[in-house]
Amino acid sequence: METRSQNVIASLEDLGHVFPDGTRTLEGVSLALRSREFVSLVGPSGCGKSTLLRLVAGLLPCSQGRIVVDPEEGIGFVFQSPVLLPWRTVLDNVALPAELLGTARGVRRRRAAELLETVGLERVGERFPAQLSGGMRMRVSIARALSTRPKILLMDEPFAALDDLTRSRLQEELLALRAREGFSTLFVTHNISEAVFLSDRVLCLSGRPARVRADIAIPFGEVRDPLLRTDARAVSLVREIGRNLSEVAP
Amino acid sequence: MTRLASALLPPLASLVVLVGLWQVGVVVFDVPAFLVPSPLAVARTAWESRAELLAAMGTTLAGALAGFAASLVVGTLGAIVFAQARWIRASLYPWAIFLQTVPIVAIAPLIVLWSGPGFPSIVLVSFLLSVFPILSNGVEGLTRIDPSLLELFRMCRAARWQELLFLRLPHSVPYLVAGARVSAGLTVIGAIVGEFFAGYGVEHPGLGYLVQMTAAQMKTELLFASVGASTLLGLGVFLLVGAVSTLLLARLQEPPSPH
Repeated sequence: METRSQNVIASLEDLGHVFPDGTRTLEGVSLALRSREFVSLVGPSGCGKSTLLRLVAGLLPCSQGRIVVDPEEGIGFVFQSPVLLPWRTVLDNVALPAELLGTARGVRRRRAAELLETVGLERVGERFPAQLSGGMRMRVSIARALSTRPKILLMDEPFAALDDLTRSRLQEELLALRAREGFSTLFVTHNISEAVFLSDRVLCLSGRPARVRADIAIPFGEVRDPLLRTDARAVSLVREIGRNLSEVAP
Repeated sequence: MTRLASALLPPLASLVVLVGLWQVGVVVFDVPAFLVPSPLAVARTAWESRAELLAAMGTTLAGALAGFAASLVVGTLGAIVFAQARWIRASLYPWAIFLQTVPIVAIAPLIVLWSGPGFPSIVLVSFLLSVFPILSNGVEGLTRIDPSLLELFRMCRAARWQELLFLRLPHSVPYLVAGARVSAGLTVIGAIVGEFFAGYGVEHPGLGYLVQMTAAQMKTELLFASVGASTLLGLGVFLLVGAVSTLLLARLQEPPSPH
């Protein structure tokens, strides 16, 4: 237990959030994100999952509770859409966060090239985002989030707009990236199978205001075979989470 | 090439028909030349006074280009100021629109009264008429930004100047270019209107002055030629700015301009 608490990289304690118009989106959400851990948040749409990510990212102020994140750890954010800068090359897009933080040109470009290679895009570094497919753009977006070597990666339904085949490929690549780079992930999704395939833990949230209804461990380790998707244990976990969510669905 | 030809041929054909009808009409109905000169007479006068017309076009072009340059610089800088805060926009934007709706013909005499006849007044009128499209498009381009991108910049602890330089300004380029295209057409009109009120006098007449003088002296052939020269000048500036903006957008790999 002690070693575990030492490994906690971000902890959310009794987190609550109220929008300026008075809508309560989160209530009493607690979560300890451990080093290298992949935690998915599933729940009814509009329940405040995105708000939770934005609180952790420091984009929104906490109105209740607190978030403890070592500011040195660094946080990367992957949005629902790739949101790349159309006037920058792919490589320069990936290097953007490092550039804004003042990293030297040579260092940030080398890092960006290395990341592009990891996501299989080393040959399109000098192209522009408009010349890429949707799946490639999302890979660029993920590479960009990792350009400053963050310890925490926040992902807000990153694969929702992709076709099934691309989605599966990117899920596998994300697992490989995590194994390589060793970041911890908070992953928001509507897709339960995706959550089970990727996560070490799945948090089921209730409808507004969101609370944690269930915290389900997914004990499959870091390295996963694509066949795990159809494995009986995975399927029964998907069913369990689905049941959990259908009880809270409005 | 064939596409260009098929685009140019119909309007050219209709022009030829129209000019032909005009020539025939003038001859058949024996219209007095001081009312409607025949196109042939206009062409002859234009050729005879080509030096005068070209000099006038040059004078007007200088005023128009100076006004356009002022619009580009002031419009872009103004847009940057407007984009800084909602309260700045709320308190100044209505006045910019107000300025836009005041008929330029109504304020032109006032401008001449303040800055005297001559080049500065003409540039000022041309600027006032052409600055708004650049300003308003610039504000839109600087502020209509995907909120996720702004969040990304905030997460990278980007300074305000970085946000402006790396995000807002490049994002606004296609908007500014679209504004500049509209502005380019207005700037020649502005210079000519300016010359109506603040012409350079006989030694340096611009097209506006020429139009006014020839109308007053019933030199209708030259008046027609001056109007034609004004149209050509406006078209030329419009096409030039259009070509430059197309090149610029292609270089910047921007998506097509929004307007």
